[in-house]
Amino acid sequence: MKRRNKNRWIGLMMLAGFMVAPFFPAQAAEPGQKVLKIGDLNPLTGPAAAWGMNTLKYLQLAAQLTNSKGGITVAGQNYTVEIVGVDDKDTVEGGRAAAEKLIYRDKAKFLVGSFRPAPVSGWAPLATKEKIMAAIGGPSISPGPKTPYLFQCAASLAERAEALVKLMNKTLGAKRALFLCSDDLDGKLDYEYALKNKERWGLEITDLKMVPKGATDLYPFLTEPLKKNPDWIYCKLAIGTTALVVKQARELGYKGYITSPTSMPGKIADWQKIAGMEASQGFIAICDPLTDEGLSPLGKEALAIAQKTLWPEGWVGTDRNYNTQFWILKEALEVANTFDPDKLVEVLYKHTFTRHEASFPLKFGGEKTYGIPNHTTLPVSFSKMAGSSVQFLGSEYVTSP
Amino acid sequence: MLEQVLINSLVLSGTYILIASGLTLIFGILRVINFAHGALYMVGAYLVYTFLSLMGVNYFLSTVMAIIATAMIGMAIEAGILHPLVDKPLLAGLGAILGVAFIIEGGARMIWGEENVAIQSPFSGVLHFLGATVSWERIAAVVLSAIIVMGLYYWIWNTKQGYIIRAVAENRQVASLQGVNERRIRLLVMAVASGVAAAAGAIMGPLFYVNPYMGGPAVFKGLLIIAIGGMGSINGSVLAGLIVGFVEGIGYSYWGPLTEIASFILVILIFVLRPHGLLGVPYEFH
Repeated sequence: MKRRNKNRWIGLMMLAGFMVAPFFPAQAAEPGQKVLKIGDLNPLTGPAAAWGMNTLKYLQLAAQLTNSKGGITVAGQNYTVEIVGVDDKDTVEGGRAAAEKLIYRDKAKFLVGSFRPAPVSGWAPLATKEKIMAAIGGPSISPGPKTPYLFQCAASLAERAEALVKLMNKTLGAKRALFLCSDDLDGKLDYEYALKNKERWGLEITDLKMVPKGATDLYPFLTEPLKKNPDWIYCKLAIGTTALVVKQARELGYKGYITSPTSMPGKIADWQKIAGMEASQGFIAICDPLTDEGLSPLGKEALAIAQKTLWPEGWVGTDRNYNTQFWILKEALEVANTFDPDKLVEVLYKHTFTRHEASFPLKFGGEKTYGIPNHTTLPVSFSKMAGSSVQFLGSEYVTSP
Repeated sequence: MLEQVLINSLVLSGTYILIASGLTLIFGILRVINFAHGALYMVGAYLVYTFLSLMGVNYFLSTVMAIIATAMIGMAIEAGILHPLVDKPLLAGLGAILGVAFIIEGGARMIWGEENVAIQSPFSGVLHFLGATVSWERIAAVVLSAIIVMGLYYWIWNTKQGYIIRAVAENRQVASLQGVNERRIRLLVMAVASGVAAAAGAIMGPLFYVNPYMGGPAVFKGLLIIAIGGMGSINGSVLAGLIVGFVEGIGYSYWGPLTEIASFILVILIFVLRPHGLLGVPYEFH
């Protein structure tokens, strides 16, 4: 009995130890030490995981390439870069929890991500409070005066939508669109922006359907709207659901364009198996041209490595903006030569950055539109599916006055 | 246009009925709300994908293999988790089966990854019928679902084995006294219900896509339908599945986001008027 009690106490103490240990993590890097941690917040599980995991892989590639060339030097101290990826679960609570872990436990100096509005709204206030510089690489909530340390390094939701409308109108003569948007914050923001600007864009919205998250049978959302024969379908849904829109719209006899203001799926072959090879032809989404023409030497090297290591089975290499945030933070640190967030912000406002993914330079602006110049104005490039690859259609600049 | 909407609704109903029928069978006999049913539906779909797309086995043989494999998983769950918890507090069984569901989902993520995958359907093309368009895939889904549900119903109500199963459901102690091996019956029921879940995955997988998260929404919807129809009643599941499928099919076509509100108002009304469901009877957890 005594021995059993003793064993029980030992077991309980071990259990208590395991429960308490996470609150006392090993000492993480402090400024001045040799590892610079950059936290990546993106969905690593769930319907948006494909995008999130790609972003993490691209960032890790950029970090490895940087480390292979000697890392980053700030104020005379050399740092190797470590990307710490945490799942933001594509939710407000998940974004907040992920940011807390990165900032307080992992001691990340900078944050990258998320590309969707909900998690950003969860972590942005915390990052602002702790003066942690953050770079968003996707079409999530745009920075404003309340988030002075948040920088948007890719086209916003609004810019992607506007660029797509411009492309469809100018290049393809398509003016009447059916809007299919996810029934969440993302989808609502998209639709509201389109409603507000449709006259300026010369767009007629024939119908809007808000599609519940996770919906797979889209016939109820397509049947009636397709009778109005829109020129194109604007599909602001998760990538898998978009594949089902393509499949089911074609089954219903729809012959017009089907588009998405999000990135072209990287593993096109897998996506086409869901949508159907024939049905997917002509599908239009964001995708840079697949050549390395105009890229910086570093950009060419990054692309070559990515093609060999990240996508050996043939990723199309869509939307190379996935690691823009990293290159911007790196260059800002090297120019500012300090970790002081306010000095970094000054550099970000004034500097013209080398964009390693494309041939045009990058500056921050957007003060008239957003009240704060933390926003890049970038062209948005689109391609269409052709066979089992893509064909570049064109880029549209959207002015953010 | 209305014809298209009605046909859409019928396909949606077929999906729901097939998932709910396995769930209601388990509840009716084992008196367990099988939260792992959605996970088994997902595993069935993934097994078909594995056999078909990765091993080159044809779709129909892949489906049979997936049904057998999933049935065995179901039997393992019954033998290892549910049977030991018979006569224990209700929450113990519910908690355990929920844990099983999460383990299966996590295992699927580790084995097959996060991304959506496709099951290539053996049916292709569309049929134009009464002013509507429907793919042969969907027609096959409705027909196969109907065959399975009718087969299940026939087995329960028109065979000796079904008679024994109903006896165990009604009073397992008395059935045991009559010489019925209750343990064997429980294993059989769990095997059949898991096989039905896998069949649902095999049938629905080609229409949409397969990912580790597809089980959750399926089991939630299935539970709602069996509650509306009457726990343990296959007829009730069929009726409830038709009601929910048509409300959603017509609602999403014409009312948009109000459909979800309308669906839940309908559910509340049904429970207020018929607390045990449309065709349900009062039950006890043994």
